[in-house]
Amino acid sequence: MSSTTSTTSPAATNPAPAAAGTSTGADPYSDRHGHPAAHLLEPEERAVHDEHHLTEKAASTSTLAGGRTVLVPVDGSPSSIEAIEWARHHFLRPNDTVVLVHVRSYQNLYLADMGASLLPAVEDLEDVARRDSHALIRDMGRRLLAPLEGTNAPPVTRVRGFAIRGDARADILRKARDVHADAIVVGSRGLGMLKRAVLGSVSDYLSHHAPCPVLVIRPVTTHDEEHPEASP
Amino acid sequence: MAAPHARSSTVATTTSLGLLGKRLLVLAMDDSVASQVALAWTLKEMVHPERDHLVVLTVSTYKTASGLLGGGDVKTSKRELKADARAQRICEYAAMHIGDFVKQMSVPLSFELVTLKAADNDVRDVILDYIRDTRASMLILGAHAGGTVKRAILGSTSSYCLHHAAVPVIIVKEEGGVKAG
Repeated sequence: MSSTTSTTSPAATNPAPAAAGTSTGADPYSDRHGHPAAHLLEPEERAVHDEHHLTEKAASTSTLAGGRTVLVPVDGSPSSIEAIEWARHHFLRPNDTVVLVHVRSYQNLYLADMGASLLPAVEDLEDVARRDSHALIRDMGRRLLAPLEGTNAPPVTRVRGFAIRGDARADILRKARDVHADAIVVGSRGLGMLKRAVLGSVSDYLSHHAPCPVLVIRPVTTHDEEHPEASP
Repeated sequence: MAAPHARSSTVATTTSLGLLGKRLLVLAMDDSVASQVALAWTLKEMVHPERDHLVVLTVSTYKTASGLLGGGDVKTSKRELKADARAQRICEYAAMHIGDFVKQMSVPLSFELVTLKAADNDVRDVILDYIRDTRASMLILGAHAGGTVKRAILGSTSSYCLHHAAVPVIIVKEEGGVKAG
């Protein structure tokens, strides 16, 4: 599985105002990847998109004939795995392109005086979070591409991944628009789910706001229960 | 609650489906454009003709009239007839559309039109009960446009079913087959 990582950051083209007047030496307001320090940016600019091409053929952006673009947001919860398994067995067709998306929030250090000297600490947290995000996407991609039982073929041949830092709901929706998704397949409960809630906020949000069909996946519960309302 | 419907035939179908390894897809339709879009999407994108049994579920719903001024029963019957006629029209539309699809694609598709009755707006419970009783593989619903409108719109029935169904739920928007963005 080849992977190329390219980093695009909208803020890279507009340097943060604080950096505009500094010399061409080391810019104290950008982290080591060249992203301006998160706390100086507006929310829209903070999103960082790192792209993964999980299969060789996915490098080209055109879709295969008759193929659909299916966006699958993941967060490492069991629900994400359910969504991927369901998509593999029940929905995906060989010509489809799957776009995996993981959105992480940016790491916050709540300190009274966030000077430039504290940036390295934040950077380390960010690096770890970023690495974990890429690892998760690779992991989910491997799961997705595993050959289907009874055949030796994977369900799809084209998988792309995006590791995004930003707001889960807004950025998943934005990514769906960017890739012109034909459908979104999403789990019903995420990592941060309250025990009482019946539907996660991200799947709820997407089902309301996405213009393309949204497939909200929960496991089919055994129907022998006395009180089916109690199941999620 | 729902009046008794032909459960025995549905259960028999489901048992044989299980034996054949087929999936049971339930598409709940009302008379909205969104439902029509959902039907078209289901046929084009979701159904595997060899593997699936498609149920198009319509719920005939009406408010029972109070008998305060007399004649309540008559009113209720009239409403019931109108509701049944509405449901009938939806079934005819679905049958026609599925027929066209089958002819066009030259594939056999096993499908069923089911109409349930619900007095006094128990539509969502009727749908969820049906899903549970038939052990459906998934529920497909149409919903009004949400993407281009500031206020998120998902009908109360669709929203409730999405939250409380015990199976995967697919929401197809009115502008339905359109790609995002």
